[in-house]
Amino acid sequence: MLIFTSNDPPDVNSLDYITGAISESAVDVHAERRHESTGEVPGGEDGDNVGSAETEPPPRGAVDVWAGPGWEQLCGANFEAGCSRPSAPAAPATPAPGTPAVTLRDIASFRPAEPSDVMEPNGWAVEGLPANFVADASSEVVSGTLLGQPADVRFTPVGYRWVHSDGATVTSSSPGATWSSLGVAEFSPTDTSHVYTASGEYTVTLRVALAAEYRFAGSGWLPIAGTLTIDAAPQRVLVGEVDTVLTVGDCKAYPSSPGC
Amino acid sequence: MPTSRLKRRRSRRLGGAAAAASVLALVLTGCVGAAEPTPTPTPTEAAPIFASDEEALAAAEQAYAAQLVVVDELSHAGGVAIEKLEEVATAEYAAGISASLERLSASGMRTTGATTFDTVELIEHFEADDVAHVSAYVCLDIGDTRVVDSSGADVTPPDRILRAPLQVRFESRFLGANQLLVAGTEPWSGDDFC
Repeated sequence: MLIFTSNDPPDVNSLDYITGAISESAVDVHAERRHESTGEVPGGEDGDNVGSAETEPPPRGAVDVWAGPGWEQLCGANFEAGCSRPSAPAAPATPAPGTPAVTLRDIASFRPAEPSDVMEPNGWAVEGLPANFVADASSEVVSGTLLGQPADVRFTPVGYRWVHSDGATVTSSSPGATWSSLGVAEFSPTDTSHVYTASGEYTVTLRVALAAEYRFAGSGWLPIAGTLTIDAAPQRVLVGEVDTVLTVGDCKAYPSSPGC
Repeated sequence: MPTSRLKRRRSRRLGGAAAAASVLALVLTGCVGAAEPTPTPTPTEAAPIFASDEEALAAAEQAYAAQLVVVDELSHAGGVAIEKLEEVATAEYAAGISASLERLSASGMRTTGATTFDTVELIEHFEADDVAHVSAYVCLDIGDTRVVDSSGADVTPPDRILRAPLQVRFESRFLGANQLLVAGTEPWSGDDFC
């Protein structure tokens, strides 16, 4: 294990890495503890001989290394519009005295469920006509261990983005709704619809931005700065063109009829 | 810098012949006393320990490589030899490595393979009281190393960090020396440059 003192930056050596005394998780805890003990951003304690800004690590959150598929830091990377949380002011993020400060990095082991999405029409679209996309992601509470204590983490969707393989992206603060629940005709444009201009095969990937809060036993929910994104599995969309023809009847019943 | 100049003179005088020493010392003292108002700086005092960033970086690379070799040797053999460590690291840092070595041998394990490093970048270097201080970013690579137990079975932990971005501090081994010792190593918590 690592031993920490509040004044000296802890020294490590190559052997600690070889033996795994410093592993992925140990380094995270280590960085966090230093952060708390000095009350400064990491890197600020190196003061006596290294003081210039270029040697300080960037502030936490601006650069983050997320392990695992589908995870990334949201703010600054993408979602420029959905980056800030709609109604959460920054100030209340300060936890009660004695409570460790929690960052997105600490909750990396808490995995929210993968979101899913549906589209209308299901799996296909008509060239030049809107296809409607609806996300299915809801607030969820994941239990686990945080900084050595049992804790809950609550993930709340705050932004939705559909990345279409034709290069278009549709960003919305709402998950969207079906044509029938909106009370509009099929192939009507909606906040989350997209028009493919050429026929072919496309994929669409839904990314959901999640805000995270945590609580230890007995405490209220405390927000964690920043948001994270999680991707739904990419879906295939077949886009074709539609022609109107006059026929005798159903083409299945009269396959040899002109127009069929 | 008058104090260091005096120190150097005194040590040189100590190396002189014992019989003539007292007589010479008297003469020298007289000479020095007379010459004091117009001291002429000697070339060694004007030259810094490291004339350029490149020299400082080269010395740091050499010192870090030497330190890794010694730690590898000791952890391969499964022993602790603080005097060997103190040839490549400051006493304080050597004590930390020796504690890690003790833990390793106490658990009956040793390591195999060579620790390497790359992507060395100078952070800064400066001199204070004839001691050069150099710090550099180093990418430590432990990918070729394994941990084995006394029976020779591979017990390498699976979640090791194979390439670690570090900040390494170096200091002159002796006053005025351009040979460096590793004085400390911290994990770099910023952008991973490895």
